[in-house]
Amino acid sequence: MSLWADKYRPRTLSELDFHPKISRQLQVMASSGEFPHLLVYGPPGAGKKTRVLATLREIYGAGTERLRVDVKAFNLPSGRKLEFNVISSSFHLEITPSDMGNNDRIVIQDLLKEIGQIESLDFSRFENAVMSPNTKEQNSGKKKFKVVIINEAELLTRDAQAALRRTMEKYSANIRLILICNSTSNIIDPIKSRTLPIRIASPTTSACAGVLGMILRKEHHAKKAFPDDDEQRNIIFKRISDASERNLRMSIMMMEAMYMNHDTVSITTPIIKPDWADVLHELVTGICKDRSVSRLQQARSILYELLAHAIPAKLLLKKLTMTIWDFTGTLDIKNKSEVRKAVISASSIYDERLSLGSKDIFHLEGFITKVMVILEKSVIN
Amino acid sequence: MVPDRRRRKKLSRDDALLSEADVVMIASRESSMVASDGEERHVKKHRKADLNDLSSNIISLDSEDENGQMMIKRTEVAEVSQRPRKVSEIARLFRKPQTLSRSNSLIDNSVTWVEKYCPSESSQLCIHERKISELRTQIQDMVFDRTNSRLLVLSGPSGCGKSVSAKILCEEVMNSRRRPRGELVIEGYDHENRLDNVVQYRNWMTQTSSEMSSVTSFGEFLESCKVLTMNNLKCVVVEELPNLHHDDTLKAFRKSILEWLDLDAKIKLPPLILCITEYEVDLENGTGSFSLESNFKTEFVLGSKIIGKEGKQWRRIKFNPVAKRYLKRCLKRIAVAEDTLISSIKQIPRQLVEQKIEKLGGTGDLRNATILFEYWCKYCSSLNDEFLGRESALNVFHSIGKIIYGTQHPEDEYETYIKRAHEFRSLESLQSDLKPQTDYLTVMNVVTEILQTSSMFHLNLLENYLSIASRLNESLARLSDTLSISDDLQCKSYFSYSFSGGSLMNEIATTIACLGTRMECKNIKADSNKSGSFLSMRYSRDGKYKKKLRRILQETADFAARRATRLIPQGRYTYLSAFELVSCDGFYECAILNSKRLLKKSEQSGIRRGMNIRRLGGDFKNLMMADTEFKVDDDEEVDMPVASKTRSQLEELYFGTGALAQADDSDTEFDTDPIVNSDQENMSADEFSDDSLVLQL
Repeated sequence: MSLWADKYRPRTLSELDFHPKISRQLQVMASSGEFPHLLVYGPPGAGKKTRVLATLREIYGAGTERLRVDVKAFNLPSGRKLEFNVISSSFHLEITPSDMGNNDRIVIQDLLKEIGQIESLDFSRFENAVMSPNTKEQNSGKKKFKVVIINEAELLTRDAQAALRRTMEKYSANIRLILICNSTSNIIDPIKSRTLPIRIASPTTSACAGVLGMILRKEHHAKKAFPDDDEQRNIIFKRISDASERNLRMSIMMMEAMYMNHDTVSITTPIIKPDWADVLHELVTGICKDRSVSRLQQARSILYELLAHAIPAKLLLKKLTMTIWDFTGTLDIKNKSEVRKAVISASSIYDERLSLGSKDIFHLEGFITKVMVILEKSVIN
Repeated sequence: MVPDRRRRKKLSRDDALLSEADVVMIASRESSMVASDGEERHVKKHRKADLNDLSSNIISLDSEDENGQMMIKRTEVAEVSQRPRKVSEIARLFRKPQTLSRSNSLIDNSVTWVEKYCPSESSQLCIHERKISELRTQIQDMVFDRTNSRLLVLSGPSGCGKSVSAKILCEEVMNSRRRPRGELVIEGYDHENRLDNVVQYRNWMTQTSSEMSSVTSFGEFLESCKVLTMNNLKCVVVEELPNLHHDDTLKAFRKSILEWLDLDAKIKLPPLILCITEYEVDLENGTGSFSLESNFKTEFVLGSKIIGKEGKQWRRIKFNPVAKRYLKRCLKRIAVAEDTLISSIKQIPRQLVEQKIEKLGGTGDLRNATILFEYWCKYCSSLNDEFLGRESALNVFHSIGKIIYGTQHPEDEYETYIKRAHEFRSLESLQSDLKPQTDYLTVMNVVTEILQTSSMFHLNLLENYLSIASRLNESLARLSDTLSISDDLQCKSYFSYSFSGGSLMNEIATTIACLGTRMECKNIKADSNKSGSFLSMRYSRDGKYKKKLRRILQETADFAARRATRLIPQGRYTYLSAFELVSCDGFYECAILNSKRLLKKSEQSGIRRGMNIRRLGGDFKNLMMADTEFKVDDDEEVDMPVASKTRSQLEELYFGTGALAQADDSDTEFDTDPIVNSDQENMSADEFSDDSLVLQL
């Protein structure tokens, strides 16, 4: 037994619930046994990773799920030794740039060179025969390449990305890269041009509800805790998917947490939102209602706390801006549109500052001060 | 670039380990003021690379000088013979070189005034009487066994008379004790000193100690000092520290101090006095972290373990920079003693001397003031020397105060500015031009002072600027905007550092931040109706924040590893980024494991849990607060989350990885009847409530 989100993750392309078009395309691609370098992007909880792994499984068979963890050690030019875990199967391996810090160029180059120079042997038929001797899987395509999945590709340094583009061409006979990221804005153009971009969008609310319903159908006991009425259940699902901003993984976790914490879940059961989102919301409520110096001081403490939890400052700024936008609707202000405009303009200024600067707290505090001053003026008027 | 060069010189001067040799060292540097840039770098490199090397430099300088001294001393000792010495005699011992030199020649350069006029009695010390009596009581308590504290730490800036007063008072207290003394020679200390009752640690290799490791030499010294009790009782004064910038040496040093403190209370130990010269530098431009390298503070030298015992097993006396009154008195004393030189040979008018003394009085560094005074009297009294001299020392809070509240001594600011800018023009003509620009001058002075630690300084400004404001206004927004801009500029300076434009960029960024803050603070002050109550300054939370971030990232990595080992065998593993783990899984997994349903089941399975499992990285309710005091957290040991055992049990139960859950089918559900509300009121307690304030919104 594991978390529902892990338990009910589809493992084959045919099991995928939404985005049927993309699934079909991937299926076609997989059946050919050959595919170009991929750039898979989309918001979190949309199923990027799931689709990539399902595609691999389609190509290589169940062997891709037999993972092992290796510790790779690299000698850096500085003389230091860098060790990190690489998760791999016989057919693919996954690397994460955040493990490597600023040394990602050297590590990725070395790693790809190592893999690329060994012409990978085709164990797939052998391995599948061992695993499932009965089913004759038709994987006769020439799969002479190994797949390298790069998670969080947007975190690759420019340096590493530039190195990657040469490597991609040089070893293209033996290596296929799959870059997974949330946004392509940090990926340099040469890489974009060498890959097939696939965008995986967040599921629609109804698709989300469909998945949640499917899970409940399988969890017999949990089903009892939820209302029988389809309509009511759909309302719950809709509330969950809205609260999670159509992040499917979060929706499933949310539903499980709600089920585990309440005897029965009804349409009035409070949604369990992630705590940091609540903290942010309270912060915004505070600064909008009580525009004082002490509040500003308190806001700094909260910002420090959020930053210490490794929540990216840019995301904080975005959420702050959106929540303030919403909140201005409830405030009694004369020139609402003017205020909103000013808030957005401040937000974009500090967003740029965040990109340029190094100490996030300055810019976040600057934004909050600015917003408080804007609101203060308009409310007095 | 000129102020920058001066600054570097000041850095290297400040770092030198404090000892008598120090004086010679400073003097030698002072005389080589016009050293080429290359040489200066050499000196600077020295310090970073190997402090030992540097201290050997000191020795060579010192030993020459001391030879001369020794001769004098020996003859003196012969005269005095074996009678028990009285305070006045010791004083005479001190004064001896002075009389000698006076008879020899009128301008005697072999003995610097710092040596010559080193105080010999407690009455001559340029320190507040209360400090002296406090120090004396402490030493007496230790000598006469009236306290269980075994260590006395004297901390303060350089040249405020820590070591001298320690030695003199030890000598006096010990003499009041009147006990016969045996002769004991101890390896590693300077047994050729002029003080009979004081043992000092010397951090250098002698021939006999060549096989000793420099790492453990301090420990061995302390070990050997333990026998200095009863009839051999001596005070152990440590003013020269081992090379604490070396990690192992630092650890060994702390360990031996701890052992000293923790030794069985029945064992009598000689009084141990540690003099720590505190200073701040930041050589790694912009790293802005608190470490021993940049912040030579008592807290860092001793480490949190020892600091925690303050007041119980050891005491501390903080020295301040020498007050102007005392400094002037001391300089006047010298002026009187050197009257022949000043009025007869050099023919310096008394008025000028007094002006000079007035000016030197503000530096707070007695040793430096004396050196400057000597230099001025001997060589350049006729020249304009505005550029000479150490600027008055500023600590962080002082600088922040100057930026936020403005200066209270515009005249001083003007003078410091002239000194820093190497302006040779006379005071009068410029003063009128610069008068209205006091703010600008203040800011420029502070900027040159804190340039090396600027990024830290900005954070400190951010932490403190609100203390002046009473309500929100445009100025406040502009102020925080300025800080934000200067952070961006500062970032640029890191990138361009390799092209040597970095320091200039850094200076620009810092100037913008400081000047902007000063201007807006002025506006805020004018606008606010807050009375002039000064709020206590706070250190930035940045250090704490970074530490917490590191801890949480580590926790996240552990969490990810646990998740991987759980899911990989099931073939269900997918990669999740650190952010996804913290923002989603880390929270919901904890919500699920803490849930009512699982609570019921865990009680059935016999798992006891007093507390809830903490979410990944801990709640958001434990806010980090800024400290007004300087707190040290050692990175030596970070205690692991307490509830880790309960957590693994619960995980086992829920995820069925262990034998525990193997028995029940994963699909059997564990609730049929509604759960009665359990009485786990204390569940919300978070074990991380060290220095936190519970969030109230």
